[in-house]
Amino acid sequence: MYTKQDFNFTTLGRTLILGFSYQHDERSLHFIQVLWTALTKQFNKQLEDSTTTFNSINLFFKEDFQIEQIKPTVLKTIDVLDFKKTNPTKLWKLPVCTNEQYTVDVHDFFNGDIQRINAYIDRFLSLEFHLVFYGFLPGFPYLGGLPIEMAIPRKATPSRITQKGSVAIGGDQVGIYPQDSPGGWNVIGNCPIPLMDFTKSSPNRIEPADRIQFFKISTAEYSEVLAAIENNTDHPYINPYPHD
Amino acid sequence: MIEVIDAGFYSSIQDQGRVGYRHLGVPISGAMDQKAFDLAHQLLGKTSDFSCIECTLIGPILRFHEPCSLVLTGAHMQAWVNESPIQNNISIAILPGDVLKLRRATKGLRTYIKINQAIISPVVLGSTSFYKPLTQDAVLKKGNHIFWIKSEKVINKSNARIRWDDSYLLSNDLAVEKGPEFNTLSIAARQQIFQKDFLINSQNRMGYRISSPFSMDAVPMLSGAVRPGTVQITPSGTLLIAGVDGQVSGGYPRIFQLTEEGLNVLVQKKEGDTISFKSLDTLPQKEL
Repeated sequence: MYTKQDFNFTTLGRTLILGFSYQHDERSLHFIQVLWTALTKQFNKQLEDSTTTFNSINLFFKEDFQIEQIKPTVLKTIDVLDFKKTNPTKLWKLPVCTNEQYTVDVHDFFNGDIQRINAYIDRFLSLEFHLVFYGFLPGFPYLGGLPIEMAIPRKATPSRITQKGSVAIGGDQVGIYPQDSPGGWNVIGNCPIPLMDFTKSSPNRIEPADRIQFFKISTAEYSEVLAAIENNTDHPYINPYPHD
Repeated sequence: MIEVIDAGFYSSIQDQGRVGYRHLGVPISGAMDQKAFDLAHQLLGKTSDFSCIECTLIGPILRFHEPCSLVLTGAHMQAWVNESPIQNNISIAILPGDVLKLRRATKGLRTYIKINQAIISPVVLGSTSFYKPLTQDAVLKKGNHIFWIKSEKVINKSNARIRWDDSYLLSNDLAVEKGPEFNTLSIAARQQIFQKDFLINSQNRMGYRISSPFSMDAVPMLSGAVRPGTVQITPSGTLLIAGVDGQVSGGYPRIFQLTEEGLNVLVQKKEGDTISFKSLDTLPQKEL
Protein backbone atom coordinates (compact mmCIF):
# COMPACT_ATOMS: atom_id res chain seq x y z
CA MET A 1 0.00 0.00 0.00
CA TYR A 2 1.07 3.54 -0.63
CA THR A 3 1.05 6.95 0.99
CA LYS A 4 2.00 10.21 -0.70
CA GLN A 5 5.61 9.88 0.54
CA ASP A 6 5.95 6.85 -1.75
CA PHE A 7 5.60 8.87 -4.97
CA ASN A 8 8.19 10.81 -6.92
CA PHE A 9 7.77 13.24 -9.82
CA THR A 10 9.70 13.34 -13.10
CA THR A 11 8.84 14.51 -16.60
CA LEU A 12 9.29 13.37 -20.17
CA GLY A 13 8.40 16.44 -22.22
CA ARG A 14 4.71 17.08 -21.63
CA THR A 15 4.34 13.79 -19.77
CA LEU A 16 4.28 13.82 -15.98
CA ILE A 17 5.64 10.58 -14.54
CA LEU A 18 4.39 9.74 -11.08
CA GLY A 19 6.79 7.04 -9.93
CA PHE A 20 6.42 4.51 -7.13
CA SER A 21 7.86 1.12 -6.27
CA TYR A 22 6.02 -1.86 -7.72
CA GLN A 23 4.22 -3.99 -5.15
CA HIS A 24 2.54 -7.06 -6.47
CA ASP A 25 -0.39 -7.52 -4.20
CA GLU A 26 -3.97 -7.00 -5.16
CA ARG A 27 -4.57 -4.11 -2.78
CA SER A 28 -1.59 -2.13 -4.10
CA LEU A 29 -2.54 -2.76 -7.73
CA HIS A 30 -6.05 -1.69 -6.96
CA PHE A 31 -4.87 1.44 -5.17
CA ILE A 32 -2.88 2.48 -8.26
CA GLN A 33 -5.91 1.89 -10.49
CA VAL A 34 -8.12 4.01 -8.27
CA LEU A 35 -5.48 6.76 -8.12
CA TRP A 36 -5.01 6.63 -11.91
CA THR A 37 -8.76 7.02 -12.43
CA ALA A 38 -8.93 9.89 -9.93
CA LEU A 39 -6.00 11.75 -11.55
CA THR A 40 -7.41 11.26 -15.03
CA LYS A 41 -10.67 12.75 -13.80
CA GLN A 42 -8.90 15.54 -11.93
CA PHE A 43 -6.89 16.73 -14.95
CA ASN A 44 -9.45 15.58 -17.50
CA LYS A 45 -9.50 18.57 -19.85
CA GLN A 46 -5.74 19.12 -19.70
CA LEU A 47 -4.86 15.56 -20.70
CA GLU A 48 -4.38 14.00 -24.09
CA ASP A 49 -3.84 10.52 -22.65
CA SER A 50 -2.73 8.64 -19.55
CA THR A 51 -1.11 5.27 -18.91
CA THR A 52 0.25 3.11 -16.14
CA THR A 53 3.21 0.76 -15.97
CA PHE A 54 4.49 -1.47 -13.15
CA ASN A 55 5.89 1.52 -11.30
CA SER A 56 4.42 4.69 -12.77
CA ILE A 57 1.29 6.61 -13.61
CA ASN A 58 1.94 8.73 -16.70
CA LEU A 59 -0.13 11.80 -17.46
CA PHE A 60 0.21 13.08 -21.04
CA PHE A 61 -0.64 16.78 -20.91
CA LYS A 62 -1.77 18.68 -24.00
CA GLU A 63 0.24 21.78 -23.13
CA ASP A 64 3.52 22.56 -21.38
CA PHE A 65 3.17 22.56 -17.61
CA GLN A 66 5.18 23.44 -14.52
CA ILE A 67 5.72 20.44 -12.27
CA GLU A 68 5.39 22.66 -9.18
CA GLN A 69 1.88 23.65 -10.23
CA ILE A 70 0.71 20.06 -10.76
CA LYS A 71 2.38 18.47 -7.73
CA PRO A 72 0.14 19.89 -4.96
CA THR A 73 -3.00 18.76 -6.81
CA VAL A 74 -1.60 15.24 -7.25
CA LEU A 75 -0.61 15.00 -3.57
CA LYS A 76 -4.02 16.24 -2.48
CA THR A 77 -5.70 13.67 -4.73
CA ILE A 78 -3.66 10.93 -3.03
CA ASP A 79 -4.57 12.31 0.41
CA VAL A 80 -8.29 12.31 -0.14
CA LEU A 81 -8.45 9.19 -2.28
CA ASP A 82 -11.56 7.22 -1.43
CA PHE A 83 -9.99 3.81 -1.75
CA LYS A 84 -12.53 1.71 0.11
CA LYS A 85 -15.45 2.28 -2.22
CA THR A 86 -14.17 0.04 -5.01
CA ASN A 87 -15.61 -2.94 -6.79
CA PRO A 88 -13.88 -6.29 -6.50
CA THR A 89 -11.75 -7.10 -9.53
CA LYS A 90 -12.92 -9.62 -12.11
CA LEU A 91 -11.45 -13.03 -12.83
CA TRP A 92 -10.99 -14.09 -16.45
CA LYS A 93 -10.28 -17.68 -17.46
CA LEU A 94 -8.35 -17.92 -20.70
CA PRO A 95 -7.76 -21.08 -22.77
CA VAL A 96 -4.18 -22.07 -23.45
CA CYS A 97 -2.79 -24.96 -25.46
CA THR A 98 0.43 -26.30 -23.98
CA ASN A 99 1.03 -28.92 -26.63
CA GLU A 100 4.72 -29.45 -27.29
CA GLN A 101 4.78 -27.26 -30.41
CA TYR A 102 3.83 -24.23 -28.28
CA THR A 103 6.22 -24.90 -25.42
CA VAL A 104 9.55 -25.19 -27.24
CA ASP A 105 11.19 -22.43 -25.19
CA VAL A 106 10.26 -24.04 -21.87
CA HIS A 107 11.49 -27.39 -23.22
CA ASP A 108 14.80 -25.73 -24.07
CA PHE A 109 15.03 -24.08 -20.67
CA PHE A 110 14.62 -27.44 -18.90
CA ASN A 111 16.82 -29.25 -21.45
CA GLY A 112 13.92 -31.47 -22.48
CA ASP A 113 13.39 -32.91 -18.96
CA ILE A 114 9.72 -33.88 -19.41
CA GLN A 115 9.04 -34.33 -15.71
CA ARG A 116 10.26 -30.85 -14.81
CA ILE A 117 8.54 -29.31 -17.85
CA ASN A 118 5.21 -30.83 -16.89
CA ALA A 119 5.60 -29.84 -13.25
CA TYR A 120 6.37 -26.26 -14.33
CA ILE A 121 3.37 -26.09 -16.68
CA ASP A 122 1.04 -27.59 -14.06
CA ARG A 123 2.13 -25.04 -11.52
CA PHE A 124 1.79 -22.23 -14.09
CA LEU A 125 -1.80 -23.30 -14.76
CA SER A 126 -2.61 -23.26 -11.05
CA LEU A 127 -1.58 -19.61 -10.67
CA GLU A 128 -3.73 -16.52 -10.66
CA PHE A 129 -2.17 -13.51 -12.41
CA HIS A 130 -3.06 -9.85 -12.42
CA LEU A 131 -3.16 -7.63 -15.48
CA VAL A 132 -0.80 -4.80 -14.57
CA PHE A 133 -0.93 -2.78 -17.82
CA TYR A 134 -0.92 -2.99 -21.61
CA GLY A 135 2.22 -1.99 -23.51
CA PHE A 136 4.90 -3.10 -26.01
CA LEU A 137 2.38 -3.92 -28.78
CA PRO A 138 -1.30 -2.94 -29.19
CA GLY A 139 -3.15 -5.23 -26.79
CA PHE A 140 -0.06 -6.83 -25.20
CA PRO A 141 -0.92 -7.45 -21.52
CA TYR A 142 1.80 -7.43 -18.88
CA LEU A 143 0.77 -9.93 -16.20
CA GLY A 144 2.23 -10.00 -12.73
CA GLY A 145 2.09 -12.84 -10.24
CA LEU A 146 4.69 -15.35 -11.39
CA PRO A 147 6.58 -16.44 -8.25
CA ILE A 148 10.21 -15.34 -8.46
CA GLU A 149 11.46 -18.94 -8.27
CA MET A 150 9.55 -19.60 -11.52
CA ALA A 151 11.21 -16.72 -13.37
CA ILE A 152 12.87 -17.59 -16.70
CA PRO A 153 15.33 -14.99 -18.00
CA ARG A 154 14.70 -13.32 -21.36
CA LYS A 155 16.49 -14.99 -24.28
CA ALA A 156 19.94 -13.57 -24.98
CA THR A 157 19.02 -13.30 -28.66
CA PRO A 158 15.34 -12.55 -29.34
CA SER A 159 13.41 -14.89 -31.64
CA ARG A 160 12.73 -13.46 -35.06
CA ILE A 161 9.06 -14.38 -34.77
CA THR A 162 7.10 -15.08 -31.63
CA GLN A 163 3.74 -16.37 -32.83
CA LYS A 164 0.46 -14.54 -32.31
CA GLY A 165 -1.28 -15.84 -29.17
CA SER A 166 1.97 -16.90 -27.50
CA VAL A 167 1.78 -16.88 -23.72
CA ALA A 168 5.34 -16.07 -22.74
CA ILE A 169 7.58 -15.50 -19.74
CA GLY A 170 10.21 -12.76 -19.50
CA GLY A 171 11.87 -12.82 -16.09
CA ASP A 172 8.98 -12.88 -13.65
CA GLN A 173 6.61 -11.16 -16.07
CA VAL A 174 4.07 -12.95 -18.25
CA GLY A 175 2.64 -11.61 -21.51
CA ILE A 176 0.41 -12.65 -24.39
CA TYR A 177 1.51 -11.69 -27.93
CA PRO A 178 -1.46 -10.12 -29.79
CA GLN A 179 0.31 -10.45 -33.14
CA ASP A 180 3.37 -12.13 -34.66
CA SER A 181 6.36 -10.14 -33.49
CA PRO A 182 10.05 -10.45 -32.76
CA GLY A 183 10.26 -11.34 -29.09
CA GLY A 184 12.73 -12.28 -26.40
CA TRP A 185 10.35 -14.02 -24.00
CA ASN A 186 9.98 -17.77 -23.43
CA VAL A 187 6.81 -19.26 -24.86
CA ILE A 188 4.90 -21.64 -22.59
CA GLY A 189 1.66 -22.02 -24.57
CA ASN A 190 -0.72 -20.43 -27.04
CA CYS A 191 -3.98 -18.66 -26.27
CA PRO A 192 -6.07 -18.75 -29.47
CA ILE A 193 -8.55 -16.01 -28.59
CA PRO A 194 -7.89 -12.32 -29.22
CA LEU A 195 -8.15 -10.17 -26.10
CA MET A 196 -8.98 -6.99 -27.97
CA ASP A 197 -11.22 -5.97 -30.83
CA PHE A 198 -9.77 -2.82 -32.37
CA THR A 199 -12.84 -2.32 -34.55
CA LYS A 200 -14.66 -1.28 -31.35
CA SER A 201 -14.19 2.07 -29.64
CA SER A 202 -13.67 0.21 -26.34
CA PRO A 203 -11.43 -2.60 -27.61
CA ASN A 204 -10.63 -4.27 -24.27
CA ARG A 205 -12.71 -6.13 -21.71
CA ILE A 206 -9.93 -7.07 -19.30
CA GLU A 207 -8.92 -4.08 -17.20
CA PRO A 208 -5.77 -3.46 -15.18
CA ALA A 209 -5.93 -5.13 -11.72
CA ASP A 210 -8.31 -7.81 -13.10
CA ARG A 211 -7.25 -11.40 -12.41
CA ILE A 212 -6.36 -13.95 -15.08
CA GLN A 213 -6.12 -17.72 -14.91
CA PHE A 214 -5.20 -20.04 -17.76
CA PHE A 215 -6.86 -23.40 -18.37
CA LYS A 216 -5.47 -26.12 -20.55
CA ILE A 217 -7.16 -27.04 -23.85
CA SER A 218 -6.31 -29.87 -26.22
CA THR A 219 -4.82 -29.39 -29.68
CA ALA A 220 -8.21 -30.38 -31.14
CA GLU A 221 -10.02 -27.74 -29.08
CA TYR A 222 -7.35 -25.21 -30.06
CA SER A 223 -8.01 -25.91 -33.75
CA GLU A 224 -11.79 -25.68 -33.20
CA VAL A 225 -11.43 -22.25 -31.63
CA LEU A 226 -9.20 -20.97 -34.44
CA ALA A 227 -11.64 -22.34 -37.05
CA ALA A 228 -14.58 -20.69 -35.26
CA ILE A 229 -12.77 -17.35 -35.24
CA GLU A 230 -11.84 -17.74 -38.90
CA ASN A 231 -15.44 -18.58 -39.91
CA ASN A 232 -16.98 -16.06 -37.55
CA THR A 233 -18.99 -18.75 -35.76
CA ASP A 234 -19.52 -19.19 -32.05
CA HIS A 235 -17.46 -21.21 -29.63
CA PRO A 236 -17.78 -21.22 -25.83
CA TYR A 237 -14.10 -20.27 -25.39
CA ILE A 238 -14.12 -17.24 -27.68
CA ASN A 239 -15.87 -14.73 -25.48
CA PRO A 240 -14.68 -15.32 -21.95
CA TYR A 241 -17.00 -13.95 -19.32
CA PRO A 242 -15.79 -12.45 -16.08
CA HIS A 243 -16.08 -14.33 -12.80
CA ASP A 244 -16.27 -12.43 -9.54
CA MET B 1 -10.28 10.28 -56.92
CA ILE B 2 -6.52 9.76 -56.86
CA GLU B 3 -5.01 6.82 -58.69
CA VAL B 4 -1.66 5.60 -57.38
CA ILE B 5 0.51 5.02 -60.47
CA ASP B 6 3.70 4.51 -58.47
CA ALA B 7 3.65 4.43 -54.67
CA GLY B 8 7.19 5.71 -54.18
CA PHE B 9 9.46 4.38 -51.44
CA TYR B 10 7.17 4.49 -48.41
CA SER B 11 3.94 6.47 -48.69
CA SER B 12 1.04 6.22 -46.28
CA ILE B 13 -2.10 8.04 -45.24
CA GLN B 14 -1.67 9.85 -41.92
CA ASP B 15 -3.87 12.19 -39.90
CA GLN B 16 -3.81 13.61 -36.37
CA GLY B 17 -3.23 10.09 -34.99
CA ARG B 18 -4.92 7.73 -32.50
CA VAL B 19 -5.09 9.98 -29.50
CA GLY B 20 -6.07 8.37 -26.20
CA TYR B 21 -5.25 4.67 -26.70
CA ARG B 22 -1.74 4.43 -25.31
CA HIS B 23 -3.09 2.62 -22.24
CA LEU B 24 -3.97 -0.28 -24.58
CA GLY B 25 -0.47 -0.31 -26.03
CA VAL B 26 -1.55 1.54 -29.18
CA PRO B 27 0.99 4.06 -30.49
CA ILE B 28 -0.25 7.47 -31.54
CA SER B 29 0.85 7.22 -35.21
CA GLY B 30 -0.08 10.19 -37.44
CA ALA B 31 2.38 12.48 -39.21
CA MET B 32 6.04 12.13 -38.19
CA ASP B 33 6.70 15.84 -38.91
CA GLN B 34 4.01 17.70 -36.98
CA LYS B 35 5.32 21.08 -38.12
CA ALA B 36 4.95 20.24 -41.82
CA PHE B 37 1.59 18.58 -41.12
CA ASP B 38 0.25 21.69 -39.36
CA LEU B 39 1.61 23.99 -42.07
CA ALA B 40 -0.18 22.02 -44.79
CA HIS B 41 -3.49 22.58 -43.04
CA GLN B 42 -2.81 26.26 -42.48
CA LEU B 43 -1.87 26.82 -46.10
CA LEU B 44 -4.99 25.16 -47.48
CA GLY B 45 -7.38 26.77 -45.05
CA LYS B 46 -9.71 24.94 -42.73
CA THR B 47 -10.78 21.47 -43.76
CA SER B 48 -12.82 19.10 -41.64
CA ASP B 49 -10.42 16.30 -42.40
CA PHE B 50 -6.78 15.89 -41.42
CA SER B 51 -5.80 12.97 -43.64
CA CYS B 52 -2.84 13.57 -45.88
CA ILE B 53 -0.22 11.46 -47.65
CA GLU B 54 3.15 11.16 -45.95
CA CYS B 55 5.91 10.38 -48.47
CA THR B 56 9.39 9.19 -47.55
CA LEU B 57 12.65 9.60 -49.52
CA ILE B 58 11.06 9.00 -52.94
CA GLY B 59 7.55 10.28 -53.45
CA PRO B 60 4.69 8.73 -55.41
CA ILE B 61 3.24 9.36 -58.87
CA LEU B 62 -0.46 10.15 -58.59
CA ARG B 63 -3.12 10.78 -61.24
CA PHE B 64 -6.02 13.00 -60.19
CA HIS B 65 -9.38 12.19 -61.75
CA GLU B 66 -11.21 15.16 -60.26
CA PRO B 67 -10.26 18.78 -59.58
CA CYS B 68 -8.86 19.89 -56.23
CA SER B 69 -6.15 22.05 -54.71
CA LEU B 70 -3.10 20.63 -53.09
CA VAL B 71 -0.04 21.71 -51.22
CA LEU B 72 3.29 20.03 -50.49
CA THR B 73 5.03 20.66 -47.17
CA GLY B 74 7.98 19.20 -45.29
CA ALA B 75 10.93 17.77 -47.24
CA HIS B 76 11.64 19.23 -50.65
CA MET B 77 11.32 16.53 -53.30
CA GLN B 78 11.75 16.77 -57.02
CA ALA B 79 8.13 17.56 -57.93
CA TRP B 80 6.12 18.15 -61.07
CA VAL B 81 2.49 18.53 -62.08
CA ASN B 82 2.47 17.05 -65.57
CA GLU B 83 5.79 18.41 -66.84
CA SER B 84 5.91 21.64 -64.84
CA PRO B 85 8.11 21.74 -61.75
CA ILE B 86 6.27 22.82 -58.59
CA GLN B 87 7.37 24.11 -55.22
CA ASN B 88 6.50 23.40 -51.62
CA ASN B 89 4.24 25.54 -49.46
CA ILE B 90 2.17 26.97 -52.32
CA SER B 91 -1.41 25.96 -53.06
CA ILE B 92 -1.65 24.39 -56.52
CA ALA B 93 -4.83 23.94 -58.58
CA ILE B 94 -5.22 20.43 -59.98
CA LEU B 95 -7.41 19.58 -62.97
CA PRO B 96 -8.85 16.20 -63.91
CA GLY B 97 -6.17 14.08 -65.56
CA ASP B 98 -3.26 15.96 -63.98
CA VAL B 99 -0.35 13.82 -62.83
CA LEU B 100 1.56 14.77 -59.70
CA LYS B 101 5.01 13.27 -59.78
CA LEU B 102 7.25 13.31 -56.72
CA ARG B 103 10.71 11.75 -56.85
CA ARG B 104 13.82 11.96 -54.73
CA ALA B 105 13.98 14.16 -51.64
CA THR B 106 16.59 16.87 -52.12
CA LYS B 107 16.23 18.50 -48.68
CA GLY B 108 14.80 16.52 -45.76
CA LEU B 109 13.15 13.09 -45.85
CA ARG B 110 9.37 13.31 -45.39
CA THR B 111 6.98 15.28 -47.58
CA TYR B 112 3.26 15.79 -46.98
CA ILE B 113 0.68 15.96 -49.75
CA LYS B 114 -2.50 17.60 -48.51
CA ILE B 115 -5.57 18.17 -50.68
CA ASN B 116 -8.44 20.49 -49.87
CA GLN B 117 -10.92 17.60 -49.78
CA ALA B 118 -11.80 15.03 -47.13
CA ILE B 119 -10.03 11.78 -48.00
CA ILE B 120 -12.03 8.58 -47.42
CA SER B 121 -9.98 5.93 -45.65
CA PRO B 122 -10.92 3.30 -43.06
CA VAL B 123 -11.07 4.76 -39.55
CA VAL B 124 -9.66 2.63 -36.71
CA LEU B 125 -9.88 4.05 -33.17
CA GLY B 126 -10.74 7.48 -34.50
CA SER B 127 -7.91 7.75 -37.02
CA THR B 128 -7.17 6.99 -40.66
CA SER B 129 -3.43 6.72 -39.99
CA PHE B 130 -1.91 3.63 -41.54
CA TYR B 131 -0.45 1.37 -38.85
CA LYS B 132 -0.32 -2.36 -39.42
CA PRO B 133 -1.87 -4.58 -38.08
CA LEU B 134 -4.50 -2.17 -36.74
CA THR B 135 -5.07 -1.07 -40.31
CA GLN B 136 -4.97 -3.49 -43.21
CA ASP B 137 -2.14 -1.70 -44.98
CA ALA B 138 1.11 -0.12 -43.89
CA VAL B 139 1.74 1.71 -47.17
CA LEU B 140 -0.04 2.82 -50.31
CA LYS B 141 0.36 0.47 -53.26
CA LYS B 142 0.40 0.85 -57.00
CA GLY B 143 -3.17 0.70 -58.29
CA ASN B 144 -4.78 1.99 -55.04
CA HIS B 145 -7.62 4.44 -55.54
CA ILE B 146 -7.99 7.17 -52.93
CA PHE B 147 -11.47 8.63 -52.89
CA TRP B 148 -12.66 11.82 -51.29
CA ILE B 149 -15.98 13.25 -50.22
CA LYS B 150 -17.14 15.61 -52.93
CA SER B 151 -18.02 18.82 -51.21
CA GLU B 152 -20.01 21.49 -53.02
CA LYS B 153 -18.14 24.24 -51.36
CA VAL B 154 -14.49 23.87 -52.19
CA ILE B 155 -12.50 26.25 -50.09
CA ASN B 156 -9.77 27.34 -52.42
CA LYS B 157 -7.97 29.68 -50.19
CA SER B 158 -4.33 30.13 -50.91
CA ASN B 159 -3.33 31.78 -47.72
CA ALA B 160 -0.45 34.06 -48.61
CA ARG B 161 -0.28 35.56 -45.15
CA ILE B 162 0.99 32.36 -43.52
CA ARG B 163 4.67 32.67 -42.77
CA TRP B 164 6.70 29.52 -42.92
CA ASP B 165 10.29 28.67 -42.19
CA ASP B 166 11.88 25.54 -43.64
CA SER B 167 15.31 26.15 -42.13
CA TYR B 168 14.76 23.21 -39.74
CA LEU B 169 15.21 20.87 -42.72
CA LEU B 170 18.89 21.80 -42.79
CA SER B 171 19.50 21.72 -39.03
CA ASN B 172 21.37 18.84 -37.39
CA ASP B 173 20.76 20.02 -33.84
CA LEU B 174 18.23 18.16 -31.74
CA ALA B 175 16.99 20.17 -28.78
CA VAL B 176 16.57 17.90 -25.78
CA GLU B 177 15.51 17.88 -22.16
CA LYS B 178 17.14 15.44 -19.79
CA GLY B 179 15.13 12.26 -19.26
CA PRO B 180 14.34 10.50 -15.97
CA GLU B 181 17.37 8.16 -16.26
CA PHE B 182 19.90 10.68 -17.66
CA ASN B 183 22.16 10.03 -14.68
CA THR B 184 22.65 6.37 -15.64
CA LEU B 185 25.20 7.77 -18.12
CA SER B 186 28.74 7.93 -16.75
CA ILE B 187 29.84 11.38 -15.59
CA ALA B 188 32.17 11.65 -18.61
CA ALA B 189 29.40 10.63 -21.00
CA ARG B 190 27.04 13.26 -19.57
CA GLN B 191 29.46 15.90 -20.91
CA GLN B 192 30.56 14.19 -24.11
CA ILE B 193 27.07 13.42 -25.34
CA PHE B 194 26.53 17.15 -25.94
CA GLN B 195 29.84 17.55 -27.78
CA LYS B 196 29.82 14.72 -30.30
CA ASP B 197 28.10 14.18 -33.64
CA PHE B 198 26.21 10.92 -34.06
CA LEU B 199 25.49 8.89 -37.18
CA ILE B 200 21.98 7.66 -37.94
CA ASN B 201 22.18 3.90 -38.59
CA SER B 202 18.59 3.27 -39.59
CA GLN B 203 15.17 4.80 -39.26
CA ASN B 204 11.51 4.14 -39.86
CA ARG B 205 8.23 5.39 -38.41
CA MET B 206 8.82 3.30 -35.25
CA GLY B 207 12.02 5.10 -34.50
CA TYR B 208 15.65 5.97 -35.15
CA ARG B 209 18.71 3.89 -34.24
CA ILE B 210 21.91 5.79 -33.66
CA SER B 211 25.19 4.29 -32.46
CA SER B 212 27.20 5.89 -29.69
CA PRO B 213 30.44 4.99 -27.90
CA PHE B 214 28.65 5.10 -24.54
CA SER B 215 28.32 1.40 -23.78
CA MET B 216 27.27 0.80 -20.22
CA ASP B 217 26.34 -1.86 -17.72
CA ALA B 218 22.82 -3.16 -18.20
CA VAL B 219 20.54 -1.28 -15.84
CA PRO B 220 17.82 -3.60 -14.60
CA MET B 221 14.62 -1.59 -14.80
CA LEU B 222 10.94 -2.12 -15.34
CA SER B 223 9.42 -0.84 -18.57
CA GLY B 224 8.52 2.84 -18.36
CA ALA B 225 6.51 5.24 -20.51
CA VAL B 226 7.96 6.19 -23.89
CA ARG B 227 6.61 8.86 -26.24
CA PRO B 228 7.72 10.10 -29.65
CA GLY B 229 11.12 11.72 -29.17
CA THR B 230 12.12 9.69 -26.09
CA VAL B 231 15.81 8.69 -26.34
CA GLN B 232 16.72 5.37 -24.71
CA ILE B 233 20.21 3.89 -24.50
CA THR B 234 20.87 0.14 -24.75
CA PRO B 235 23.77 -1.55 -22.91
CA SER B 236 25.78 -1.64 -26.18
CA GLY B 237 25.38 2.12 -26.54
CA THR B 238 22.75 2.23 -29.28
CA LEU B 239 20.48 5.24 -28.92
CA LEU B 240 16.86 4.44 -29.73
CA ILE B 241 14.67 7.46 -30.45
CA ALA B 242 10.98 6.61 -30.56
CA GLY B 243 8.93 7.67 -33.58
CA VAL B 244 5.16 8.08 -33.74
CA ASP B 245 4.63 4.34 -34.41
CA GLY B 246 7.05 3.42 -31.62
CA GLN B 247 6.25 1.25 -28.63
CA VAL B 248 4.44 3.06 -25.82
CA SER B 249 6.70 1.53 -23.18
CA GLY B 250 10.37 0.65 -23.08
CA GLY B 251 12.81 -0.94 -20.68
CA TYR B 252 16.05 0.96 -21.37
CA PRO B 253 17.19 4.11 -19.54
CA ARG B 254 15.48 7.20 -20.93
CA ILE B 255 18.29 9.72 -21.13
CA PHE B 256 16.60 12.45 -23.18
CA GLN B 257 13.29 13.71 -24.42
CA LEU B 258 13.45 15.64 -27.69
CA THR B 259 11.47 18.86 -27.73
CA GLU B 260 8.79 19.11 -30.41
CA GLU B 261 11.13 21.28 -32.44
CA GLY B 262 13.92 18.70 -31.96
CA LEU B 263 11.65 15.87 -33.06
CA ASN B 264 10.67 17.75 -36.23
CA VAL B 265 14.36 18.17 -37.06
CA LEU B 266 15.07 14.47 -36.44
CA VAL B 267 12.24 13.02 -38.56
CA GLN B 268 13.58 14.85 -41.60
CA LYS B 269 16.94 13.08 -41.23
CA LYS B 270 17.78 9.90 -43.12
CA GLU B 271 20.14 6.98 -42.69
CA GLY B 272 23.74 8.22 -42.89
CA ASP B 273 22.96 11.76 -41.72
CA THR B 274 24.55 13.03 -38.52
CA ILE B 275 22.88 14.75 -35.59
CA SER B 276 23.95 16.29 -32.31
CA PHE B 277 22.11 16.85 -29.05
CA LYS B 278 21.67 20.35 -27.68
CA SER B 279 20.56 20.89 -24.13
CA LEU B 280 17.62 23.27 -23.90
CA ASP B 281 19.55 25.29 -21.31
CA THR B 282 22.41 26.06 -23.70
CA LEU B 283 20.33 26.85 -26.81
CA PRO B 284 19.87 30.54 -27.61
CA GLN B 285 16.50 31.74 -26.37
CA LYS B 286 13.85 31.97 -29.04
CA GLU B 287 12.76 35.49 -29.87
CA LEU B 288 9.27 36.09 -28.64
